[in-house]
Amino acid sequence: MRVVIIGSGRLGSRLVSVFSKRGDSVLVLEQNESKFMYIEDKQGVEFLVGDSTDEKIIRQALKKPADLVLVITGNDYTNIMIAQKIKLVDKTIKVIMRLFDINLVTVYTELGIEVVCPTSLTIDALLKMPGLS
Amino acid sequence: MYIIIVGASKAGVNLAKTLLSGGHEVTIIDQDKTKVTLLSENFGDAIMLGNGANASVLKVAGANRANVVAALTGDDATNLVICQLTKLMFMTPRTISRVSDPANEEIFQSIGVDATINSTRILNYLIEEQVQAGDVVVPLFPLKGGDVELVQVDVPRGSYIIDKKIKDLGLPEGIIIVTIYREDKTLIPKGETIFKQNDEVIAIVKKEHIDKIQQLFKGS
Repeated sequence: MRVVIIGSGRLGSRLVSVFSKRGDSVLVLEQNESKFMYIEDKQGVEFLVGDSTDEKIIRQALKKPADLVLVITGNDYTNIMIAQKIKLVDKTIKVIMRLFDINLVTVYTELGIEVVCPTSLTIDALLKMPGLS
Repeated sequence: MYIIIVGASKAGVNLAKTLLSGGHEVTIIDQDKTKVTLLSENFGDAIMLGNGANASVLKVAGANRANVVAALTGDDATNLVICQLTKLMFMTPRTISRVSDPANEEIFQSIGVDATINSTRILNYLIEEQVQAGDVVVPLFPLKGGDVELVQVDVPRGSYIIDKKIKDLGLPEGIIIVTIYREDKTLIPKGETIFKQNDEVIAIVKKEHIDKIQQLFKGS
């Protein structure tokens, strides 16, 4: 599988290692080159530096057809913009974005973009903990 | 009408002033506390502290009954979310957005934002057009269809039209004087109105008459 990861923060840099260890082909797109430092296992990983809200950069990242794009910069609004721009470039591609704001999750799920929400995941996890359930 | 403006930028504040003086109901939302405190002296209840891209904040602002939501923050992604949220959650009939990067206009149009204002493009347009037009006539906006423009013309020292009445200028049909700014006041001109030096005149002009207006207003 080919995975494009947009945003190489704490989550992104981890995911790069997870996917590449699994044998997937990975491209990581990040505006700030110094963030690549945190990626432990760089072997076989493609790096692209650029503004991920820029359509030209998006096209460049998707030059080799991807099976999955993960949009996980630290900013909800940026993620929303990027995810929708990707859909404009390629309607069929599978895009998952991260949103912290629970209120936004409903809106964008209805628009057909898959969303992972750390806030609601944390709530679920907490509620399952002993003494809280 | 009820208009919500997100982002207390210069554009946002001036728009709010204009709308309030026109008898409209306005709420400005901004998340900068200092700015909001400062502006509340002038705007009172019409200014609100909060993140305008947050559904709860928009709800408190009364987004469900707003006729227009104008997203005027400096960040395109935030503006995009404001427009989508208000359209989808609050069924806002009309959304307007400021777009800083011209490359982002397509995405705003694709999600159904009713109007985008791109200052970069307007500035480019002004610069390009100004080179052609010399110093006198500044095109503000091309009107739909393209052969008519809204322009600003200043009355320089020694201009032929100083102390002349509009009706005596013999303006062709393709030129309409819309307003005159004089000493911080906006005048609605009539035939009897007399031009003064340093007047800033806004006019609607057919493209073929731009030269004509240029000649009329020219200084010494």
